Amino acid sequence: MTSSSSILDMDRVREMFDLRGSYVAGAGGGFTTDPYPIWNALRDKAAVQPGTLHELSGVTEPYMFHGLPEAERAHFSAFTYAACDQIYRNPETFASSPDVIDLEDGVGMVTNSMLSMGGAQHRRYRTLVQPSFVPAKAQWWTTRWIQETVDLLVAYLQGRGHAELNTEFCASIPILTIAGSFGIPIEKALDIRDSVRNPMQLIEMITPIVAARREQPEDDLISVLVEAEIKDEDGAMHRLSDVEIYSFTALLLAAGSGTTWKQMGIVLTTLLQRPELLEEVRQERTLLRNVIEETMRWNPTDPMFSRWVTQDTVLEGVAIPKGAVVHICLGAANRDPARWDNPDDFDALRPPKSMFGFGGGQHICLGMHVAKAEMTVGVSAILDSLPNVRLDPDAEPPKFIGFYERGATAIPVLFDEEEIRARP
Amino acid sequence: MAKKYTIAIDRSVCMGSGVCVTYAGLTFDQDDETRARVINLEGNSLEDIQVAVESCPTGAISLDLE
Repeated sequence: MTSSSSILDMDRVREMFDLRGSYVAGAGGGFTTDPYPIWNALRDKAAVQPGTLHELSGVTEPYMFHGLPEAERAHFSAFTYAACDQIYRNPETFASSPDVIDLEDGVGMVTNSMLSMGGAQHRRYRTLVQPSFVPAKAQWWTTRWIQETVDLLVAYLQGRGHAELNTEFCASIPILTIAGSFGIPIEKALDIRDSVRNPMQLIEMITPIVAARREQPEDDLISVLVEAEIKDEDGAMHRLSDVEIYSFTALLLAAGSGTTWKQMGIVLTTLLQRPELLEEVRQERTLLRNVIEETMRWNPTDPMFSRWVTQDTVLEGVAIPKGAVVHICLGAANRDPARWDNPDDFDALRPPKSMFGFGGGQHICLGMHVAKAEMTVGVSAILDSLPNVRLDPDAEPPKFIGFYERGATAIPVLFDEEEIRARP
Repeated sequence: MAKKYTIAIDRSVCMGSGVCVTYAGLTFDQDDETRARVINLEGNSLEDIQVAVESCPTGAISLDLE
């Protein structure tokens, strides 16, 4: 039986994906208290306020994230669902970058991508990749990469009786899925995660693959990018250049491998802390969809994103000048009592309605359906393959930590050692 | 008596995000160009359709209650 432990260096995975480690310290990985009482109070005080979210929350360290530090600009934070909705739905005023984006200018940085584009330019690039990420494609992702990845990881855990699900399960799934879709072999998967900080490394790894797919397309994402035709401003069709392809891969890597694993950890922790609910979900798997949706509302892994203001405007009565940065405090907006009853409660039986866990507007998360597929397949496999899985009562219980990037500290579990012989 | 309603989708505004499909997947699906379309006006409850309409990130769907 192949073991992922022989292929993935678990120490390296642990170091790379530990929320408290240096990897995400800059985004507030050391923030260990529950921010929601603070954010709820801020939202109750005023819909829109001057300041960054972390400063308004009493943090003195210079946390960094999307739209930060931007020290030369005025900062405002929006807290209510209504204010955030207006920001998302007005991209001309609340733009995704202060600058015009030309991909040939600066290779490899995540912000030098579709993430930062606006208007017609954004639409052209988004249209290119959207077909590969629609709900109907979730099955392609699952069959091609997600199921196999999850089966491989679960096979390593089965029969052992104990595991730490953050690093031994959740952390590896998105990176292996994305690496698979890029055509990068499993042994090299962690190298591409490293390249989030070192764009040239990603380019080196992707270059031969792009060349190979241009010769011979396969059923993967690089082939989609290679074959895609984009209509440029004057209406001429062109295929993506190498630089344009690198920009996409860097964005997909940064956006996909840093987020989904933490959210999956939040889902698992939330279920493990509620054994009755976990058992209900085990018996009735259709409940999992609502569980995932509700955790995205109640505890989104990225609770804030930003926009750059292109013209003087007024938002919920507050004047915001051109050139300011506005922080969409979507974590706070997701608990707005004007929209949800008992918003601080985790309630898997709430009737679903839209929330901002995946953002909103034109830049709404491209990967949301793939992320949900990863979480669904991953959590299902844990429920199917680790009998009587429960939090280890002798270990430190998991906590949700982090400020701009949130997740579970560690998820130590016990389970029965008899192996499952057949999948239901 | 069941409420009557019509649904219109502005194809130039629709970006193919698929969010409507996640909330009302019996009523909405996506065509070859990822644009949303109505496949069954009464596939989902009116409540679920209203959630889907509101959820559209670009506001491409309009629902008229007659």
